[in-house]
Amino acid sequence: MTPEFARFQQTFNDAVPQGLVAAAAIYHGALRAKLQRGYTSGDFTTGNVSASVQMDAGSQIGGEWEVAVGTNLMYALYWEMGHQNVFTRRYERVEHWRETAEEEGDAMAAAFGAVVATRLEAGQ
Amino acid sequence: MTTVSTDRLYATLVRDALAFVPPGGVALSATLGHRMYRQAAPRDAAYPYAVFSLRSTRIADGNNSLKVLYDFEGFVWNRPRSTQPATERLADTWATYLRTLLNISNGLMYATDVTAESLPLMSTPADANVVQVLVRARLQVWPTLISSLSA
Repeated sequence: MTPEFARFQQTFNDAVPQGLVAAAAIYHGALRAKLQRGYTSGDFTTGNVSASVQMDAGSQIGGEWEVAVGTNLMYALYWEMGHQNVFTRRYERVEHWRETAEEEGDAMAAAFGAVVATRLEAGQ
Repeated sequence: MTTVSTDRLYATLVRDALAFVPPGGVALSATLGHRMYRQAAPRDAAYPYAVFSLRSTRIADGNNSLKVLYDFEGFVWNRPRSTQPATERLADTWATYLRTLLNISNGLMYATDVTAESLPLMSTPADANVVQVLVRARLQVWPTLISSLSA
């Protein structure tokens, strides 16, 4: 392996987690914006779910980089996965997380690519 | 079975899952009857019942493939909370059906990445007495024309 290739490879390896963080930041921001209206009509929401959404700095698991975006509010899980609601007495489900991931997929990929390309072109 | 339409995919997945008998077990239909629904259950559906949907439809490998991928998402619903073990057994049977699914009669359909997982105990606003077990898979579907190519 030439020194130049080794430097290129190191730059790429450094850029990947940064690109993932940039992609996750887009998802995180879009999700928080969407959750401002909560899961119902949006008339009585406190912004609690939106404020609870966090993203971490990324970690390497089994050789693959991962950035987690999540919440510790269990009732978000009920709404996202569906539940029998005791107040409305019917099945309720509102999927903000999956839909946002699909809506923002292209923007996330572009953000990842832009970060990696910028680092590679800068050569550091 | 034919992969010619989404409707026929659903029909096959319902019919074959209900009829599937796992080794040493009983068919899902013995417990569910015909209560396996697409997308959503009727409001008056009796427990236990199953609901599944095929989601995030996409062409495999970008646009250069004949293969279509679906995210299979199914739930087994039951009540009360004491039915948790029996509900998990139903979900396991459903998952076993998906793991062994290989239908080549008219087109090709098989499943990968099959998992069954209980959702945690829910609280208000959800009914804590309802048990939900999630069954997930990636459904891989080839069109009917490949059957004619291999004939």
